[in-house]
Amino acid sequence: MNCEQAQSLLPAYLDGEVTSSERALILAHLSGCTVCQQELDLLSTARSQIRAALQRRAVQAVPSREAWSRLETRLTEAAQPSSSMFAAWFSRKAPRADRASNRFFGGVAMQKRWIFSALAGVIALSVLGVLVAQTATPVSARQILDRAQEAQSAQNEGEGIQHMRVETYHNLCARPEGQGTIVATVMESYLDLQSGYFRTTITEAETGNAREVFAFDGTYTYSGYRSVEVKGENPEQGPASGEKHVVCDQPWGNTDDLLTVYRAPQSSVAGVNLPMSKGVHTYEEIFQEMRDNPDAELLGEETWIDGRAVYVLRSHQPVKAIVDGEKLGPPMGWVTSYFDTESYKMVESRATIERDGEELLVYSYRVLADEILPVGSDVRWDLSDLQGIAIVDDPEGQHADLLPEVVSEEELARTPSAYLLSSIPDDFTLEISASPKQPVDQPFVYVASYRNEAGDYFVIQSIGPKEVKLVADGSDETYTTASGLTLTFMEDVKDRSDKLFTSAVLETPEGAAFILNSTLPRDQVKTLAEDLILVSK
Amino acid sequence: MQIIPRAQSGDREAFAVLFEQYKNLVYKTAYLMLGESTEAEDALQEIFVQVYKSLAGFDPRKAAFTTWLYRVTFNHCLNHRRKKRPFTLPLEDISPALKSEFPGAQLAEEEVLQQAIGKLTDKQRAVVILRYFWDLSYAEIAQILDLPLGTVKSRIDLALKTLRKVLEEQESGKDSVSQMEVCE
Repeated sequence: MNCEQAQSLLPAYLDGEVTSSERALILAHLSGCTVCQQELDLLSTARSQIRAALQRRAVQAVPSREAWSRLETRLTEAAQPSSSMFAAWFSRKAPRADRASNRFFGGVAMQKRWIFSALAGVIALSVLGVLVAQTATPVSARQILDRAQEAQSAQNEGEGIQHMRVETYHNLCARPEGQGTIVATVMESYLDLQSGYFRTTITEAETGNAREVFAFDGTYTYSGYRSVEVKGENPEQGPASGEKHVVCDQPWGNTDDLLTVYRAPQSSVAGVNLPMSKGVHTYEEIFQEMRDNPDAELLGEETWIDGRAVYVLRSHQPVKAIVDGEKLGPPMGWVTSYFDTESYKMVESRATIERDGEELLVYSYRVLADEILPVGSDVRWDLSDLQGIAIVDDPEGQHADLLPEVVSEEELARTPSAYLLSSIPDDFTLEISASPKQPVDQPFVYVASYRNEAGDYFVIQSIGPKEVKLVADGSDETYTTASGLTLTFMEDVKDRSDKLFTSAVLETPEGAAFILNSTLPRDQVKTLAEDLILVSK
Repeated sequence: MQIIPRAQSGDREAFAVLFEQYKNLVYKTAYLMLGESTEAEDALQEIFVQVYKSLAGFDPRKAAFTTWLYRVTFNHCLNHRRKKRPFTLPLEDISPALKSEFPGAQLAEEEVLQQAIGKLTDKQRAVVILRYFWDLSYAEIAQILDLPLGTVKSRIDLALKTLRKVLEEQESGKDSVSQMEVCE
């Protein structure tokens, strides 16, 4: 051990924080080195003096006598019913629902890439129903996050074309500039709010070449994505990029060959929502991670790149990145998010981690456009203006991603294990949707949605038996109908207007499983469940 | 029933007990981090409101309550400091009590010490406070600040050497003064 090595360990040595072998090496070095002995003495003196100085400084530092009474007032304000109660509930339930919707649209025919889900619509509507519009000036990060949840869950209705343009950057392995894989994309989405036509493209930010496309023009769906070849030992540890994973030294981007886009016939779709983002780290993930972090704090207001005022929130949390040699999960980092002070929508989020004393940008996400274009705006739903793609007809839908379609009760009755209410409740309507071309050897997956004009709904969604344990986690009551259906209820929650939301997992005697979601009280849900019948013939 | 589960269930009296038990931990930490009693007082309020709101999410299986509380406290203080750029610590003047306790040269020494602490970066000051004021181990500090153990070691190493250098400079200054006095 030389002087430099010894001196780098001296503070830890004084603190008793070296290993026994380090200790032996240090002692051996000190026995023959007066320079290091002197350094040790100086550090020891400094250490004692600092310890004493801190004690002296803090000895008279005590809170004021009024501290508790001041706090008590603040706590009373904080205890007022607010949407944060629902936020906690939603954050517990939404992941389960997300998994279910992923399965619904991913496991069967959607190849897990896009979540255009009727269930997502249900969740979004429930959020709209619960979160009462608030107009007071926000005073905390939590309130901003709650309002952002409301704003971002809101579905645009009426006329026009919803347009979004999102720029993403991901430094996959959290490496200094120029040393690792960078995934930088631009996602552009259009959704006609009346016809349901949509078009989403993801292109490389640098070259403009298409990476992924998905569109529906009323006659066909168009889908294509560029797979990434995987190299490396543990690709599963990395963040996903499309279907594949990219590891640290994998080249990405600068693709010259044409992207194959499959065109498959599809005449109608059900419950289409425009995805907020796509890529290695989705908008929803970023937002939910910050919402789930109790330490998220409001830093203040700033002016964003386009001149509007934004709230700046920051939280210390795990950041998705592959850190070399890191086996203990994602590294901790700082996530800073920017929320429009008018709309509360998140317009930017960026995450940094500290490595070797350097602050590294791991990802950034920017919403460059979020607007409603006038009816009749020129959007080529059939992708005819898109460069760098080759459209290939897929008449049987063997390669294409197909969207869920509206199906009739009669069509549903031809599938096994399908349940519906024996009659549609007064003032309610029923829409059944399902992905087309489902494999015959797997449970048929569908959503039956009963709704009324008042905004209430009763939705039953089939899921696979494997999902049941996952979803039933956190239940508080089990109820069995006269026909032997078992309902496992989740904890009920009331919002400030005292409205109750109910959800449950339903299992049938045949072993099929469903999720129930409803704005109706639990007793009414039980009554309706008594009316569920097997419609399969 | 223990205080924390009671406070988690919304029992205000239990929360008052919790506040009483831990207010000094939070206040002294904030005072040492922020350097001013008014800021420490505000921090105490903000931190306990934060604790009140997020206590339900505290999981005793994942961390001790004090670890969690330290984390909330340091997150608040570091964020507060970050917003108050530039990163110089506005340490208060030496208190009258200390002035009476340290007359003359001793007072000057005390001022140097306090200024030396003020010269540390916020991140260094955080580890120094946890190690040399609260006597926590490196592993506990790593858990509180969500840092690798190696980073804790390097920050303490750097902080202690910075402080040693400042004190050494003060010492050499004193020597030169006494030499001048001898010469005269």
